[in-house]
Amino acid sequence: MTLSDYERDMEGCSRCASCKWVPFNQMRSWRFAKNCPSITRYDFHAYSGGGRMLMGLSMVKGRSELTDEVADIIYRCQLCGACDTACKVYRDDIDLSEVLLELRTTCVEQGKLIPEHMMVIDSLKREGNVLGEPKAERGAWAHGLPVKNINNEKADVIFHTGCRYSYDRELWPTLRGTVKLLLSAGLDVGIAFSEESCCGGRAYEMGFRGEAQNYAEDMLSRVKASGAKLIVTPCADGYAHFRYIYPRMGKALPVEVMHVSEVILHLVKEGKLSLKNEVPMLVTWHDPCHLGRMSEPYLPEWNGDKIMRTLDRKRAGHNGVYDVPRELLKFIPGVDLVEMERIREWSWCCGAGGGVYEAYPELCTFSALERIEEARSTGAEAMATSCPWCHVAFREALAETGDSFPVYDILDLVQQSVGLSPETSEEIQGGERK
Amino acid sequence: MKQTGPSLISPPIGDEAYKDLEEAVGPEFVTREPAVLDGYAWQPLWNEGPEMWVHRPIAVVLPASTEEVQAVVKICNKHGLKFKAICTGWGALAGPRCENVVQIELRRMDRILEIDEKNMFVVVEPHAIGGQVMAETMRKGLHTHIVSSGAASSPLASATSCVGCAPDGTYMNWSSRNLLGVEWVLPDGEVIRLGTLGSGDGWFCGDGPGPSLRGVLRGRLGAFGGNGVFTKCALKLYNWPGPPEPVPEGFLYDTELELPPHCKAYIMFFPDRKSLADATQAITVEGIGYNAFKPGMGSLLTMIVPHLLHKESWKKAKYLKKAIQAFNYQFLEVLATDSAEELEFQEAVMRDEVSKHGGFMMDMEHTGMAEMIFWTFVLSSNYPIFFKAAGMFITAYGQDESHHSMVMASPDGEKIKQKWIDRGGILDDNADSGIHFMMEESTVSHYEEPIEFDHRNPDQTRTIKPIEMEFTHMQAEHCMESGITSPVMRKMFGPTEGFYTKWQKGIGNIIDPRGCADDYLYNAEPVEGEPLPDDPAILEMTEKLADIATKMAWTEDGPLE
Repeated sequence: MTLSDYERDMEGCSRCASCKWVPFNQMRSWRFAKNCPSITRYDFHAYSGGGRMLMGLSMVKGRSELTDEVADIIYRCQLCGACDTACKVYRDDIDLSEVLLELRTTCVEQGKLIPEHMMVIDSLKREGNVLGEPKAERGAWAHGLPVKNINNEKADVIFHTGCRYSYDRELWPTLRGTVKLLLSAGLDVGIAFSEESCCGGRAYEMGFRGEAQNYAEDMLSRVKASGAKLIVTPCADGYAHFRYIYPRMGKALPVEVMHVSEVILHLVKEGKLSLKNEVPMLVTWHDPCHLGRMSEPYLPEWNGDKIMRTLDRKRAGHNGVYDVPRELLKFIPGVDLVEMERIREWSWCCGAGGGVYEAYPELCTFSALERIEEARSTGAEAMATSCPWCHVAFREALAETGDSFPVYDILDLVQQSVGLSPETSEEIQGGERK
Repeated sequence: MKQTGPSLISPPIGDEAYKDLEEAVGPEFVTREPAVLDGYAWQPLWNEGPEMWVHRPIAVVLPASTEEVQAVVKICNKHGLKFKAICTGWGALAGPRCENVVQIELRRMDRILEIDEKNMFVVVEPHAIGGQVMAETMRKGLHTHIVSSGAASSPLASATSCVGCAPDGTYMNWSSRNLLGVEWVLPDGEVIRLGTLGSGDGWFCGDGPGPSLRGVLRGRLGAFGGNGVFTKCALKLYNWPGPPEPVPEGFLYDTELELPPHCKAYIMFFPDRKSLADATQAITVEGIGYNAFKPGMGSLLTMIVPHLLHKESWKKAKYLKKAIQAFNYQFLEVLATDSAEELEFQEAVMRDEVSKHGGFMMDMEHTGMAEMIFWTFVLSSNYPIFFKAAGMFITAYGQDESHHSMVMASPDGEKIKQKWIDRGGILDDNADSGIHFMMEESTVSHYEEPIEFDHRNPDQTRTIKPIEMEFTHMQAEHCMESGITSPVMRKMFGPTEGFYTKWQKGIGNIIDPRGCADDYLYNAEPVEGEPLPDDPAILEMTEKLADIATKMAWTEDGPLE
């Protein structure tokens, strides 16, 4: 597909402005009524979902050209999908998120690249991750854990760690504790250690489809060779990309893919994990875009006029993962959940997605601080989430402003309730040395 | 005022003017990037086509304050540029309609400045949208009128500049009547404050003490941006007896939230059009209803089963169509009251009038649709659904007259619509989808005939202008007000309506001596020799209209015999 293939979608825009707001039934206040970080920050219509489509339409119609300024606007977007969800309350014939992806690809095809994204792509090519870290150290986090190496052992479950968890040492206690929980529940878990690569989803979002294809093929062959029945990932980005972008590229994985929170909930319900300890805390839940609306499985292109598209063929964000983390929080004694205004399909993005974390840190920080303010407004003592990129966006935004507000991975809360003490960095380093 | 070819692209703005704009609002809040400008030029709604583009603005600016708006307007005066403000941009009326227009995007002026519970008004900036205003006022037990473009639209824009009626008119009247104090940047850049605001007495009254220029400000339909920029205004608030934070589950048809105490949704059916008109007027005169609306069965079909209307089998479903048509004389009433006694009274009045006129009514809780109907109307969240079935819609007639004359005129509108459905030009929604709602305590009814079409289909877009012309012709024959926004038509019909155009232009010349406001839709003069569209249907109808206009014309001293 190309941008021109979405000309009807772009022309479909009635300029009703719904894409800029949470669905109107859900609008609870003046303060938290907006849904799109980009237009909220920059205000010109071109920064909204509809405005981006109209830039695309203008170019497809030959009325304007892809300039550096236009490319810059195209890249200043987290591809969080909030506009798409809002649009689809009323429309069956517009796939806004697809247009945004095609705009990225058009930029790359026309050589409108930005250095920060190029660095990510270079890192992917050299080291197989988006962080510029050495490939050889990808599995370092797991040293000392009794986990199988799927490169030479069969395992029922592939644990795909993802780039951020693999290299962000502050997240390692969360990660290691989670794997311990899975193992203690009797799962046959294996990882690829240094052979694990990025899922390639971030490359796809940045518009580098060729790169993304390579990583999808790599993942596909690894999964096929492993004989595993299930892929579990703690990375919400990876989860969304496996469920949506891989099939979109024709590289659907031949096994079931689950986010780790889904697996943990399953184990709790089966009685294989006991959440027994009180974790007295009033928390609010941040729905990561990639665990929520963007993880909705891929649906094949509708052939013909989308006006006639049936609802079961419309990807509108409803089939993301929303209830699982909320249910899991309910299982943790002492945890009380208080909801923010923008949740579920209409959740506000943390700011990190779509290459914005790498290229536009100021926009990322803006989005993250907006979310923290919303979390605070609920009276919650802390915010919980389940995406390493969200976690880092919040952590860095708070550090940048010298502010503090506790942000937990839901896996941390689960581990506290199970009674698993987080490992100290010394303990982890000890494990590494072994 | 000339158009610049099919793509309507003006020459670029000069560097000096652009630099001035940058200095006025900050460089990051001005753009002349063509693709960005086209985001303001794509305006398919209320665009009679065949192109869905309007004029591309030469620059877009984002002022953050009244002072910055003034500065921008003065720069336009200095450099001989035109300007036009835009809020949320619902429809082509908001876009530039001539060349050399600087579009003033008011998105950064989005605050709710004050909610005065005691005196029941809210003070808003242009880009505080209806959904936001409702959310904040409902917390205080108050509600505000939202125009039928819905929660995404700007209450200030509707109140100051553009028509403004909706099904809530039965309780909250319409936009023009809800406007109180106003802050207005005139087209020469000066600021005027109207009503009590102008005498330093706050926002509570638009008519003084202090200057009262509400008629000049917007007239009946509004000046569509042609009279300057409105930067703040106060709007009346009304009682909201429901919960302070209604948060339904779901977005639209999946809405779930119990009806509040003493609230209901009813649908009533009548045997014929006259009974419908008589009963609904009688009900509304009694002050019954919070939202009231005569939907068309066709409109409901476009919302609920949009795919059906595209199928060949639907075209041939003669008896199904007749069966559906049998329910066309229907009326929806949303009741929101403060007590069981009040609800009982309202229900009793309705029951009595419905019975008296041979109709029957049904509590929508029996249909399972009460919650959805109640909340989507009260929260004005349903209106963009009109885009669903075909991609675009336009409404014809769109006029406000006495309730009976509007309801009884519907069949003529339906005939026009059916003709164009038969020609394949628009979506077949059974041609019975005329919608009505009331305001001014039921003395006035609003009637629109929604026409659904795909604006991406040239065969369909070509039909829109001729359809609109036919409806205009019908209006003229029915002696309805014209609501005309084209200079050529205004010139034609001005003499039939007391030479209003002459007075309008005279006022325009005083407040806009350099002609800087984009007033194409309001009081611009037609360009001599401007060719009419090369379409036989349009030419034929224009001739008919000219004939009517000539017969109805007044002299400047009074009506012709």
